[in-house]
Amino acid sequence: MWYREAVMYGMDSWTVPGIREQRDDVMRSFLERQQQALLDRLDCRLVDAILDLDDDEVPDDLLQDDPTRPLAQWWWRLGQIRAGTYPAELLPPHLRALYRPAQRAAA
Amino acid sequence: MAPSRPRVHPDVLRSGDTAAIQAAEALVKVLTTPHWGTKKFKAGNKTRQALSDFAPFAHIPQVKQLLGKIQRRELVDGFLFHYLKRVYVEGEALNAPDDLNRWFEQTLNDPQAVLIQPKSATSRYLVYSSRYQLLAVLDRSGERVSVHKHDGQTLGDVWKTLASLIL
Repeated sequence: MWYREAVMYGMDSWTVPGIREQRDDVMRSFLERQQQALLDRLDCRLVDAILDLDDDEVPDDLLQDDPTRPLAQWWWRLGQIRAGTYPAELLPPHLRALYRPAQRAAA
Repeated sequence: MAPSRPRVHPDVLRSGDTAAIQAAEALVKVLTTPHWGTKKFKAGNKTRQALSDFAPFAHIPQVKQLLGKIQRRELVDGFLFHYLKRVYVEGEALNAPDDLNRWFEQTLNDPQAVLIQPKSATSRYLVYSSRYQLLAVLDRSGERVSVHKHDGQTLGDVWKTLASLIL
């Protein structure tokens, strides 16, 4: 899974070109329960890292949101997520649990 | 006959293109000196993730040492960090740390591999080999930073082929 490589290894140096397109590909795949659990874990890592406002190495282009994508595709709204302006109710529960406290802290 | 030592392509030197010469010199260095940079963990979410990832393997001496360095905010060998993460955290079947160097060298020895247009004059170099589906990341100083699998999509514009930069 390309997305896994990007999250697990590319993110160490924030070298993640194409990570949002890779997440799109995953969205279009049928996942078994175990694969879904892995995806949830990867999504959590990405969002958790994006929410770290002290991390100044997050690439600017990753935080440039694409308003042409559906709002529910949160990975195209990482800028909003970092800023705490993304609607929390659109996130799946495991990401909302990470996002809400950070959103409150940023408010 | 021993393989020849990589060197900057004479056409690049003749071109006087400073950016291309610098890139070619970094590529030569990264191929001839397999040195990986160090990594310093600051307090933050990625550091917390790393500590949590490795915690179940803290009984392994190499991992214990790594965890100690991360906790003390000491410099961590990027190569060892990457290797231990693949082997213990992700349970991959790497035979030896040198497998990562092999991936790096496969990528940089692929004449069809491409250098992606850097985003700025200080960005790291990204080299992609579609043959091996590997993305190698190197510092401008010629240090190895990372190598991981990539599908090659949305990497950015191709700047140069490696064959045009180094021999």
